[in-house]
Amino acid sequence: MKPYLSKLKDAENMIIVIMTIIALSVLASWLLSHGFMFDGASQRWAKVLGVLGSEEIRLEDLSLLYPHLPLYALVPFYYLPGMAHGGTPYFVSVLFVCMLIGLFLYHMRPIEISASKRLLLVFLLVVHPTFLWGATNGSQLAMSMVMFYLLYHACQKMIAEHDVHAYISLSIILAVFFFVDGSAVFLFIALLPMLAVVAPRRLLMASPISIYFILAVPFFFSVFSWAWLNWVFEGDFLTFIKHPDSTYLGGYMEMFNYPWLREYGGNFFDSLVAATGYTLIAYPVIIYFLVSTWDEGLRFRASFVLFVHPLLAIALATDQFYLTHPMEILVLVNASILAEITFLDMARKRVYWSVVSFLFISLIGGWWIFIESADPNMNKWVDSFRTERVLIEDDDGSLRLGRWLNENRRETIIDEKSGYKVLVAREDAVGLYLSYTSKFKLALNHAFPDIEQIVVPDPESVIGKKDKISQRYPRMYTEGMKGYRLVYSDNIWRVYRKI
Amino acid sequence: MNQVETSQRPKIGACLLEQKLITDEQLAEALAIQQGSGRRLGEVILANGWITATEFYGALTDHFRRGRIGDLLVEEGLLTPAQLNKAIALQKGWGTRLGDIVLSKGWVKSYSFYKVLADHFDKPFVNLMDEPSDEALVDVGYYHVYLENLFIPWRKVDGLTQVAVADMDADVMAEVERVVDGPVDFVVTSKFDIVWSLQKYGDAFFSEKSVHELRKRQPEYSASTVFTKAQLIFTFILMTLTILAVAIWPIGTLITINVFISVFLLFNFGLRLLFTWVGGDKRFDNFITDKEVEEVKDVDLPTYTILVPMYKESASLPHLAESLRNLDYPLSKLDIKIILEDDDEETIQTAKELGLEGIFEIIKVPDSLPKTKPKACNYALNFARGELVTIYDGEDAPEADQLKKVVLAFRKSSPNTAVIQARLNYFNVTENWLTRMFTMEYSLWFDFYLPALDALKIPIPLGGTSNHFKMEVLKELQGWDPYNVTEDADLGVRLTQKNYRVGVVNSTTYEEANKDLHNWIRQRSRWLKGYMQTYLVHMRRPLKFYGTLGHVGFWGFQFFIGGTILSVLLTPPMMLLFITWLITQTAMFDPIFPAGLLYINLINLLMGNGFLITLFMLSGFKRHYYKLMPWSMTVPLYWLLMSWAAYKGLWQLIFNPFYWEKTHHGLTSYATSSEVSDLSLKTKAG
Repeated sequence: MKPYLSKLKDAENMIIVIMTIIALSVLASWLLSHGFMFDGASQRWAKVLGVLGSEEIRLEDLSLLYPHLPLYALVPFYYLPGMAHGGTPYFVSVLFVCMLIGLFLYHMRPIEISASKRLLLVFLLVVHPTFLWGATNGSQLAMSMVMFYLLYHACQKMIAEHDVHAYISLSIILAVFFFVDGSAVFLFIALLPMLAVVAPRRLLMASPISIYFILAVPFFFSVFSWAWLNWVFEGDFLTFIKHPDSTYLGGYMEMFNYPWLREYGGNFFDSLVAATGYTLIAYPVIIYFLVSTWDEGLRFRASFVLFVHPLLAIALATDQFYLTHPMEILVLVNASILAEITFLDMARKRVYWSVVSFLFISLIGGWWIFIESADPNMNKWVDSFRTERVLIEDDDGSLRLGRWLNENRRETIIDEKSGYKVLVAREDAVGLYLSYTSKFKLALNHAFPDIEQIVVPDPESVIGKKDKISQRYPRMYTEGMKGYRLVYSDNIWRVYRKI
Repeated sequence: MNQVETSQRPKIGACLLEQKLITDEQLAEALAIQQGSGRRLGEVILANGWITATEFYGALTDHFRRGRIGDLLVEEGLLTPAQLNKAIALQKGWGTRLGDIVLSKGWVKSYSFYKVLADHFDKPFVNLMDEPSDEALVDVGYYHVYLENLFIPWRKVDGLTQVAVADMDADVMAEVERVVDGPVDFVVTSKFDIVWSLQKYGDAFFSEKSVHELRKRQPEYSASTVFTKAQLIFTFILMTLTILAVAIWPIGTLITINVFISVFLLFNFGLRLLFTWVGGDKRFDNFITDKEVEEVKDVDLPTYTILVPMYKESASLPHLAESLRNLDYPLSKLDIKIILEDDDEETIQTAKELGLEGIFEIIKVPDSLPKTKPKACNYALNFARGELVTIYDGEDAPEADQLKKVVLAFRKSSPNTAVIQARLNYFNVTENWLTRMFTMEYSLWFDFYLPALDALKIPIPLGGTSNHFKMEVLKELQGWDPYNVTEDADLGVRLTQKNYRVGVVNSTTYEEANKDLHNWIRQRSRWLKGYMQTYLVHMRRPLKFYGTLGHVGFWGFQFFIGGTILSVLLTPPMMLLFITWLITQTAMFDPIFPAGLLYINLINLLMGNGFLITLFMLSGFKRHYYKLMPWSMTVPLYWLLMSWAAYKGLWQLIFNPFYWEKTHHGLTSYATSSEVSDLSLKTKAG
């Protein structure tokens, strides 16, 4: 009987996961078709297209300025027929959050609650705005949520069972997290004081340093490996935190563009207080966790870590001018809430309905704070729910240029850092000379490059100011170049072709 | 009182007639012969073969036996009444014979005991050292029967073969009659006299058997041939093709080799991580609980043989004896063999001077080649009488309940489980850097890797000691390979191939970690040479091996045994390459390190080493050796030492394959049994 019930539960869980995939995919498509496009997602996809479309595929061309695992996650989709379009990163994000839901349901298996109750829980968790934002914005956040879920689950295990597996998992998760998300460093540092709460008291009395050794060494080796790769390929161990384009710097280079950093940047305690406010409004369910476990030593420690760890990470990251918006880390709290629920006695009606009620209240608070504090990207995302359907948003004409280049396939030189959306719309990089290639560098060495087509943006535009071709040939956009004729001009982009 | 009893006994003839074992005519004839020869009536009846000895003594048990053995011992002043009462109480719990108990406790000397036993059975006592057996009566084909039942044909008098026995048990008598020609009667002697006599007569036979048994019966598993012809031809072809390929396509070939090495190392590292994960499961630490051990009934426990091969370790002997005495196991069910080499006068003398109790037997192994531990163990196996058998080294201190845990582990495991490996660890943990590293390595190996191998059904290379076998299986496999210098590892793989399972148990034996670098290199080079021998032996017919072990077992063997060898051999050239590049920044190696490969290499170098350091830390962590954890950062240095030993082992494999690099024990200043017991108790409590 037991195996049958177990199989039935597996089948029900599978149906819930598939329903989630379908629902979130439909939602992501809706958002994209209503004008939403996240720059981070386009940049990542353009990077993958650029590297995999090159004559010679070199991993270092993925650039050491981004954590690599979210890029690797996109690689298989490049080779899948029909997947090489701009929607891929969004779909991959959906898949990762569904993996998260799958993990959650898997860990829920020992708890005896009906499929409909599980479905209701999943629904309430998924429709939280921060969860939806992480699931559909095509960034690395979905992958980070999976990692954070595993991290928190390992912490819970350590608290509950003092199992060797928990130590191994936690050390591996932390080491891998560094390759997933730049904020992992802050999450790691914020976890250090929390370990005093997580680790068993007997261990802390015997050797408090031992737990730090086990968890920190793999993480340090990850950072060291990355620094080493930087040295091998870029000649400097610290390129990834010195280079102005590095995502490891977060908002540091453009701190004045972000209201959050303008207000709280460099201020640990103020940002801590503000983050606490955000958390309590967006996730009042945490209050329930804390109150309901008040008299249970071990469970309370877990709830305490769930509450305090992200706050410390936000405060640290803000203090260092990394975090552009608290939601970048608060999104991860969704994952820890999922993990926490797997440790609750959800079979008890009182517990189940209390959690459901608080999740519902969290939804209200979450949507309110999300809309109130939204940055331009979030605003665009929220607007896409209610604006009219558009084919696809194309403010600066990059996508139209991409489609034109797709139809006019010739050897073309383009700076993919400014033209990443062009690459996304062209759907591959075959025949393109991108900024890291030797042909691109050689071409720009000459006053009159010998290339069939040259793409140049308006040097007066925001994009044009950063574009290497525009910088090298500042008058080309307006005056053209000897031996080349203008074949395309739309919005800020022009294409010159060799005569 | 006894005299009165004797005088009231019915006559032998009458008894036999009453039970219709002889006829009136036979009795009359026997009485006539008795009068003429002056021999005893029973001897005459037996010599004529009218009835068997079993029938004779079966019918006349009460007639011959004098009192109870315990009373006789007290009467002789050999045992105090208090000791007798204690022995009787133990007998109820242990379910063994009173004589075995008093001997195992050392309350009565063996010689005195058997004299009383002879008196009890109303039989003459013979000292085989003074009055040796007639060698012509000893049949080489029945050595194992003599040893199993503890008897030896002694002399032939008037057509009656006198057989020296250590007990007049009905089963023993039946066996005697089965294997000894003609009518028999008995004399009593001590079991040690029987064992030593059989050793004396069977030296050549046992030596030959211990060296050549496996080679003759299962040559495919014997390491006596280091490289088979096929292996040599394969190696030659592979090397020729590699050289040709390097000459014709240098870059492509070097990249291919590089890919092979890098991917192999990556898998090897990944596998170790997987092993640590699987082996870290709590169920392995709680496989046998203390409660289960408490509940086990001594009476149900089997006889246990403990083999202790020693060579020039006289200093360790008293500590070892103490450790074995302290085992939580009915002493009378222990059959401990102290195995000493014939030329090791000092240890032999120490053993004699210690006056060890009856559970200890000294087995002297005659001098012959190869002079290895497996040969000594094979030799001693002939004299073993236990249902289960284990090996401890001279400096070992097993946890007191280990044997009980093993018995329970066998009961809990599948019927095809042939051996249970206990965990090994060290008692001189913090003596110096080497002992620290060694301890962490061993903890990782025995606390994580071996349970994982068990769970994943990958052949387990048994550790050097504390492996507990079912005797019948061990004998079926012809024991250990005397030509293999890691005979234990080889046996583990051999068992798996024969569809037996190798299990593990959560009990630890504490040993002495090597604190001397030179000594460590000797030991490690032998281990790695043995691994190479084991790999070569089992890869003689790789397809058959694959078929027997299946995918997981085969590849697990490749990576765990083969991987261990290859990784330590590859470390120095790879490090050299890396350091050359680091110092000179030469672009010479660039063509053979395309970006993808460079990535894998960097993962191996940094992440791989990082996680291996963490695994070492975890091993210390699990054992609560917290102070060792920072030392794990020096693992790469330890790795280099292993490479040094590996190259030495490789050299010896080619030029001196069967040489046993002896590890010297007793170098530690920590080694006392009391300290070890304390340590084991602390660990258990922790």
